[in-house]
Amino acid sequence: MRKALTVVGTALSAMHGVGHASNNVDKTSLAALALHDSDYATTLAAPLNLNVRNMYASHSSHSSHASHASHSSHSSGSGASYGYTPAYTPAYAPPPPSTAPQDSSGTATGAPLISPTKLRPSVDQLQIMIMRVQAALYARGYDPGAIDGEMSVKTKEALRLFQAARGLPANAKMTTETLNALGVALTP
Amino acid sequence: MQPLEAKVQCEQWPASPLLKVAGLAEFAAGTFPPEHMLLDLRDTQVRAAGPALCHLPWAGFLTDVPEHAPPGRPWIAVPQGAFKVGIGDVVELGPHASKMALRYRRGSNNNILFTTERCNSYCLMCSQPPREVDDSWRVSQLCNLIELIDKDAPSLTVTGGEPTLLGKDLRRVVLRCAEVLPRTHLHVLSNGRAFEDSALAQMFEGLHPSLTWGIPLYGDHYGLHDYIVQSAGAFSQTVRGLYALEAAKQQIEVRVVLVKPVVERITELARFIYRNLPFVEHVALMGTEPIGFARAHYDDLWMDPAHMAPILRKAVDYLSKRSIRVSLYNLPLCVLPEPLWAYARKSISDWKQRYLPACEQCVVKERCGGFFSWMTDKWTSQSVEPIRGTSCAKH
Repeated sequence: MRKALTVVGTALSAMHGVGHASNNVDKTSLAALALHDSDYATTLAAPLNLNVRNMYASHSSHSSHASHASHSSHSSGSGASYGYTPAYTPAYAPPPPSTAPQDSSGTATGAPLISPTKLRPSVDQLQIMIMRVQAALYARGYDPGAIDGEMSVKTKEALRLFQAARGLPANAKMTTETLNALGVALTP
Repeated sequence: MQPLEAKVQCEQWPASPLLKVAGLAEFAAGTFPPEHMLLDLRDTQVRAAGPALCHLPWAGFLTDVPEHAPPGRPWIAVPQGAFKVGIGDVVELGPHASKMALRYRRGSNNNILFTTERCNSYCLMCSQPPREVDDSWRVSQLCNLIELIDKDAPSLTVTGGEPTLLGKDLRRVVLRCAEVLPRTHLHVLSNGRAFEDSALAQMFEGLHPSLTWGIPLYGDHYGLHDYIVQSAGAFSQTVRGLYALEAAKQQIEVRVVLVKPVVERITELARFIYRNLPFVEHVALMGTEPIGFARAHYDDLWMDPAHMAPILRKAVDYLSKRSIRVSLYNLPLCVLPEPLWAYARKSISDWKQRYLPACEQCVVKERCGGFFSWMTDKWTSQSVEPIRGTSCAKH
């Protein structure tokens, strides 16, 4: 943004100086300097989810997943008392422990939580995303019911209220704009 | 003073030594994977959120009441007291003892990336005396820590020891910051001696969008500077390093610790900076931190800040008239003449800062940086007294 302004400013001043051909060299080097300076300027924060495909936007409801077959297969004994166990295991490929040796570039590796290239989320990814939306709503004082990964009536109602308060279409969908406003990132 | 380390009670040590403390917002944001986070069950919102949240693969749980943690999962209980750990902080768990150390504090005015305990200087007033140890393991650990720091952290200080002793690895740390925390300003505290090798300085050209080097210079003459840093040849190395950094298009701050021999030639130093280092963006004149080596060299170093005031004013005027930004650090307002107040910064890190009982009646306490918490009577100016009213009120 700052850079764009610099460019515009330089262009304007260049137009202003038409006819003073001898000044052109100075102008160009000045512009180069100004551009260089803008590298050191504070840049404005981009919206949270910029140029990221949102595969969750169409899911206003996912009532079928409660009875999804994958559930029973992931139920473990320890969670049975709650009557509900989020089947997170496949969605989270645990990154290697941070003590693991790193490559020379220093990149701490970690499998992406959610692959941005997929068109449709898996049941588990969707459930986690709904939980994150519920947590964000709850943290902002809305009542999405339990934080359980179910797009329940209460969650949809909370989403609508939040969207309306933010001047967004109150459609109870997890649109990119809604996720941005909630501080929920599509890619970790 | 707020301690940065504490013994904790725990069960089933989480595998990863660096962990971020998570609340609902951290889970919602999804910036950090649960495997690298401790869910803070002390938070009422988190506790009210329901059991499903606890089933996620958190590294473990922070709690006052171990029964709140799901059975069979790791938990850590932080004792009540001065040691405070909150949501957003990054903690390190000691490998053997039940110890937890704060490595990043959300909202703190001074978070540091500690590069090494080694140093090539041996300054008379060093607040962090160096140790000759192989701590190269810190580099990969720092890279991991950087991953867990809030993306909107305003600034980080890279310090040591002497960070440039990391050589190319310092570039790696800075690059990691540029990639992961591009909006966070980096302040690297170095003696600049290693940049005598201009190739090392060149490695940092264009590397980070917002980085300032804080380089100390203690005199206009090698004799004085080399004496203060207790290293022959240091002055010429640092001066050559400053030029190499400038050639590599780096932003430079000159840092001057106000110990007696330095203050005595401070106007000469100001002139040296203006004449020879006009590219310097900022000059920080800093009161001595009474800890580490400084305590052993009290007689050689101590000068009451109140007695410095006239000469300090000359140096500040000289630099600011010549458009070199200048600030005064670590000096309480009551020891400075009022015209210098505008240059005084609240520079002491929050966790080691305090006020004296006398400060309670002071009308400018809010503007004042106060004192280091390890301040003793010996190291306190005779002129410390509450300001009762500004000059406007007096007239």
